[in-house]
Amino acid sequence: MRDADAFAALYDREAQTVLVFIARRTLDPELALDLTAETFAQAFRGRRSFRGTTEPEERAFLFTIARRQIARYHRRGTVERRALEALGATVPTAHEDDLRAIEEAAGLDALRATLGDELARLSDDQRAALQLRVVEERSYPEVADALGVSEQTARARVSRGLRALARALEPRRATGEDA
Amino acid sequence: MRILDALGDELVRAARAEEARAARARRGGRLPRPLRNLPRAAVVGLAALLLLAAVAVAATIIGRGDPIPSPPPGAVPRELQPVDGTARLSGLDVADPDGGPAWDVRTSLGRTGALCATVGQVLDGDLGIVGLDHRFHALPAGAADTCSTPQGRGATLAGARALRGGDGLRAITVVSGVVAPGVTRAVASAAGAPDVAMKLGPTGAFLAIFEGTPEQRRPRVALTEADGRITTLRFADTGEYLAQDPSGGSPWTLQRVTRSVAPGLRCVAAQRERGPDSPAPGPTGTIGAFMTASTPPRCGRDGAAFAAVQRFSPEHRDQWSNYYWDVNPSRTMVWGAAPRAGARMTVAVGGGAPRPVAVDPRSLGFAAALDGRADPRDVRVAVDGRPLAANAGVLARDGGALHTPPVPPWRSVAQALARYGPVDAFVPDRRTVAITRRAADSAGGPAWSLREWTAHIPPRQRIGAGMSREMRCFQVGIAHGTTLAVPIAGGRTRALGFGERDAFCNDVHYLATRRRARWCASASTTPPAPTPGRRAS
Repeated sequence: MRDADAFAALYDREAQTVLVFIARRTLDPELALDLTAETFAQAFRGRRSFRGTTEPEERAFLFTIARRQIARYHRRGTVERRALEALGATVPTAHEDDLRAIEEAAGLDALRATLGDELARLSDDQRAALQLRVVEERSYPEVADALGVSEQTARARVSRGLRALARALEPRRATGEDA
Repeated sequence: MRILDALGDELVRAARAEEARAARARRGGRLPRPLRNLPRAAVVGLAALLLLAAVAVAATIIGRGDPIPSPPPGAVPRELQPVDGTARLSGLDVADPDGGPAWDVRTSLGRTGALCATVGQVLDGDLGIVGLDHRFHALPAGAADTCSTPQGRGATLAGARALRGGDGLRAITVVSGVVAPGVTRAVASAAGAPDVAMKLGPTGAFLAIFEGTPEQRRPRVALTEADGRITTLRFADTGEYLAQDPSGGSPWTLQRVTRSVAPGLRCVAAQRERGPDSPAPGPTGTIGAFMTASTPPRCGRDGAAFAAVQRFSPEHRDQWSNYYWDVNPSRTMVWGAAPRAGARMTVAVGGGAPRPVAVDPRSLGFAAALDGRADPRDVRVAVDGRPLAANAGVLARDGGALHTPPVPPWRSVAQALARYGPVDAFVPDRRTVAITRRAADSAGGPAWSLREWTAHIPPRQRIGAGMSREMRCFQVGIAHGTTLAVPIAGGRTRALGFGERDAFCNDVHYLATRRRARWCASASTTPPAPTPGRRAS
């Protein structure tokens, strides 16, 4: 990805896959659009550090950035826009039908239903730990306090619950969403 | 997917713009690394030397790109093929508005005897064009832009072309040509620009440059012959009403409003055309204007003159209507209608001389955009030399009277935009996030939850005096899987984030001064009469 032309080709090739990849990990089409935009902006800004020459290498580069964006969002609760700002780009406003199109492309309805089913299969302890940590975004000491367990135990319950969910969802991942 | 296409267009546009910026910086926007390492005094001394030599070397700073290739043999008509040895530059040396190589006209004789002209920029004696890649590309010698048909008394060859204008650059209009032998003087003019008496080259070539597109500036060339006769050539005059903006950028158009208008009224509104400066672009990372500036419709009795005069400042909002100026530059607008076709309207500010304002022959409307610093109370309007009281007889669309609007203070776009930070400027404190209330759904659906947290405005974000950086945020949704979500069209749900668009945040100081009641309830909106739901404790 040497220049803007190559960047345009990369975007045309990968944009929808990246968007679906992020949407299925955030369950929020608007957020997915924001993170997709920042991912591509970072890829272009970081093009000089990219040493690959093939399409699979470009794809791997892109998905590494996407994963980092998702992790950062979950850690901080805000969407990073540094690369977009540096590039002087803005994310177009998504209208209702755009969001619906993203939801459909990512199969979010089915995914949410699956998540609900899988959550129901978790143990009460794990479900309560995930509720406090993921939904209410409380700190681990707070989760531990609320559950009346040690912080280590709270961490373990959250971790086991997330692993169980990830295992359950693995076979249902959209084809080709992982590079 | 439409939204992905729009995002792609925006990202690729921004990527190309960054490439162009980087290319400019490489060519000389920054000092080369060895110079950056010199002591400051040495750099200043060197800069002075460079300034002295600037005029001499300016042309060589522009890099050269590939020459524009000649058209294939046979593709150029004989009249456009110059006779060898007849091509010559005219030495007009018209300055480039962006500081590039000066502009000139190359004339030549075509193989059929026609006089031909080619316009371009001159670098080291070559005629060419500085492209959007900011490099000079020499024009081929074997073809001309245009040629005149040979006539007994000769003929004036003239044209107006839009150049540049891509990649966010301002467009320029180049008016050029060659006058007929009997012409002694050529004056170029354009809407909103002073007249330019053009230098005539040895073969009668002339050239003038205006900022903006030909459609915006509608250039004219007035040719005076030896016997005093004047012929005016007009370019890009589509007949659409245009009023110039004081910035020289995108002009204003006029619209006759007919929808929901009471009988016997004539209503007009002015709207600024879209362009690189319209709507006003905001600084990177801020939410800028999304709408072009426009005035609300104002009406008067058919056959009577009226003039609305009002100052609009960024974020001007009319609390009685949906009218919003958005974050566009401050302007004092004068708009209304003349009593009849052919009436002469003038506008003056303070003790300044009245300036004529064109009247649209179809709608009889007129508009003048003044700098926003002009006080509307100092604006004087006249019809055929007789004063017309500002805002007198100005009516609403339904014929109702309108009060003279208060004059908002002038302020800059930057001042208005300072209120806006990067999107999601409220940073949530995740330790404080909690579901604080729940309420059953009165229609029997899933229960609703009230989620609260504390957020803060980062130090880099400017805030108003007396505002706190600490915010309290609230949102209501349905616990859906691992997220809080809201129903959207089609029976689907959308997960709520902690950004501003999904939450209601308020200054904690503001909240502290008011009664704080935290509650969450649901009510059914069908049947029509809302039924209060259960209130959670």
